[in-house]
Amino acid sequence: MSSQSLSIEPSGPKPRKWFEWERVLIYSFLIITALYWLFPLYIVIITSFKDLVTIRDGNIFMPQLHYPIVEVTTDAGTQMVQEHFYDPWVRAWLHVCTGLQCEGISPNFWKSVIITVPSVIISIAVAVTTGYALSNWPFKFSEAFFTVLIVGSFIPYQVMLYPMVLLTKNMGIYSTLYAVIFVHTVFGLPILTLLFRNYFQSLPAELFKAARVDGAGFWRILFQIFLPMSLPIMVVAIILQVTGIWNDFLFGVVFAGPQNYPMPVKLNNIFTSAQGVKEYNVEMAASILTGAVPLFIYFFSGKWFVRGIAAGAVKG
Amino acid sequence: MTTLDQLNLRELNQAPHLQQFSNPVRYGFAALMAAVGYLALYFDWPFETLGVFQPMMYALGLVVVSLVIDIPFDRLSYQLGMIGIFILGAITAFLAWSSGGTIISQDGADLIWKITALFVILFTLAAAVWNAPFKNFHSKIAAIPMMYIVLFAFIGCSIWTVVFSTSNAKIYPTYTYAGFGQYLRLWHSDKWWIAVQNVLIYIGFSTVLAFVIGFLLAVFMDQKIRLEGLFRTIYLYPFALSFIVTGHVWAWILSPEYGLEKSVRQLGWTSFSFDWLTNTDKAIYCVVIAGLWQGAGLVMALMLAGLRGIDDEVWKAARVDGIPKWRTYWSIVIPMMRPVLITTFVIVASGAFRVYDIVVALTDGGPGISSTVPSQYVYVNLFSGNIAQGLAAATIMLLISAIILIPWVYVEFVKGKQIR
Repeated sequence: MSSQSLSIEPSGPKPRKWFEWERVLIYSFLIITALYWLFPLYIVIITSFKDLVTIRDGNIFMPQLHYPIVEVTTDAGTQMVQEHFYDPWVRAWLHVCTGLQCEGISPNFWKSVIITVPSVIISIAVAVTTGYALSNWPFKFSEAFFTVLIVGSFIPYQVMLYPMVLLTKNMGIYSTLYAVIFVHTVFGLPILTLLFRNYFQSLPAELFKAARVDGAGFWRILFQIFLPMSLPIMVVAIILQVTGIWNDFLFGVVFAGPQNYPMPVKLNNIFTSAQGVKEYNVEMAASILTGAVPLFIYFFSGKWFVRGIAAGAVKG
Repeated sequence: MTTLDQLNLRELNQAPHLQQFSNPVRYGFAALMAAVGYLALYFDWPFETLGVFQPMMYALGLVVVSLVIDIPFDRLSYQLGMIGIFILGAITAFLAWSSGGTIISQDGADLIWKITALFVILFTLAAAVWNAPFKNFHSKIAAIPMMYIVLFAFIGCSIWTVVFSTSNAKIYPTYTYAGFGQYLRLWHSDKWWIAVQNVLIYIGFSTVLAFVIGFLLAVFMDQKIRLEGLFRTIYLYPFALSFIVTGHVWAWILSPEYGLEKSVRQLGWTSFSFDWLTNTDKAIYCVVIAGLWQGAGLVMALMLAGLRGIDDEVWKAARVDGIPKWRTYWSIVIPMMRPVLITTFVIVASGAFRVYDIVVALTDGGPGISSTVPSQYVYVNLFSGNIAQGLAAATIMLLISAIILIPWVYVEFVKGKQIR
């Protein structure tokens, strides 16, 4: 009892001095690298709010503060128009041209949504059942299938690209939204299956055994026990898939067909098909718009996102 | 009394009384198979243009699937069925071959193929109806999409690519045997060698730099710093972006005309020069810079997870022994993190190897062809009327990634299992 009150020696960790060289080194390294990482974001944001004259004559480090009244010549005649800081954004969203189409990037935003939502739902639904079957109901050769699946996910897509084109052509869905959704489901399966398999394996085995003894079967255990428990990993999987599919370029350009191009493909076309003066401000605004959805998810999911890439990458 | 611990799951899942399926389930399954078969016929699924290998592959897939579904091959009827499928496949292949290697869906061969497909369906139907004791039935049903994807998308498509790389297909994927002519062409193609050289530079620089920067960042982040979440958010946010966005953003920053070079000169340093993007020797390093910006945060996150996984006792022991911090990292922590390092290496290296989007966006292989990469070479050839050439290049890519992957698979799956 009294031994506690008798100890007069200092205990606990050594108190930190407020200034240590080691700390200074650490923080300066971290801050300098952080500035390097933030630099492109800053440049892109300020560029997207500039007008073309400022871009041509000015400095990429400096934001534009004044928006002049400029002369605009149209068919109707010459007008004086007040420029606004949001002009490039409006143009990027609604008016920017690729070839003869001048609808901006907004139709492709909706195409991206239409591609992403079903792809995410279908690929996760397939992966949940597969991961559950692999983890709790192993069958003959199930591990062999799984190994091939994981190895397959590291093979460059170019290897399987052309046969997949033929496959979707034969299914009659090539160059439609279904083809993109199909391809995303196929190539999203390995990583998602890994994710769910490892998660279900980490759940206590007693849970499964108890349910089995009580007479629950394959689907009942999945729907009534495992699915309700898999909310955390489900969030991770959704984040992983939404950002992955939204950012995809290759499958979009190959399988979707010109009428269904998702946002990154359209963005690339905006950059490459510009005629005459390149509208860097509009292009940067379109870039931010394209990156907005995954960035939004990233900033608001924070830890989940990190957990997602860590879980997806490291075999847990 | 048996406790839960003593229950053997495998035995439980396969206990006899659970394997008996009522007639409705069995006939339901048969109906499902028939529906799948009908759809297969309807769409000429899976590979109309697979040429000589189409029926073979279908038969192969069926063998594997039925092995998994535990069709008893010791029964004579099933053995005969399988032999029949193979014979029909071989006839189809021969007809396709002898008709000058034209694609399979031409009249004569097409009929044989349809007969084969019909036979396959009938066989599966019979297996489903008469072979009652499926082991682990629902699990296999649930895994059917995965099996099909493994067989047809990963294995089948890879085989198709390898096989057709020995053809001379140009615009249409028809098979005429041409030996290793495409590989010879590849060997003599300057563009291919530039692409290989570029991807080696890219893999080398981006892997080493991402590891060094990622590891340093992770170590510094692990020193109980303030605002750790903020720093992590900053280093990792590019990872959420599309490569296309990253590529175009860096193209803008690095462009000598408008970007960094001009602006630094405007600020007063008039001799400043940074024209890598338009320099044929340096353009690939621009891709390295942009790729690093996007990918180093991932290495940092993985390393940080690895560092956090190290037991505190290790650190205490090292401190008691008076080992300096850097030495502890170098001699104890890094060796302990070997599995994480290997996995991270495989992810980063295989990601670097298939670099595509960012090159398309940043340089589009330019100036000229100076920064082109193999995946771009494949893509351009595939979709500009040089299919076999693209496939030969893809086969080489497959080979190289297999060389990287096989040791990893061995370590991760084969060796790992023995320890467990």
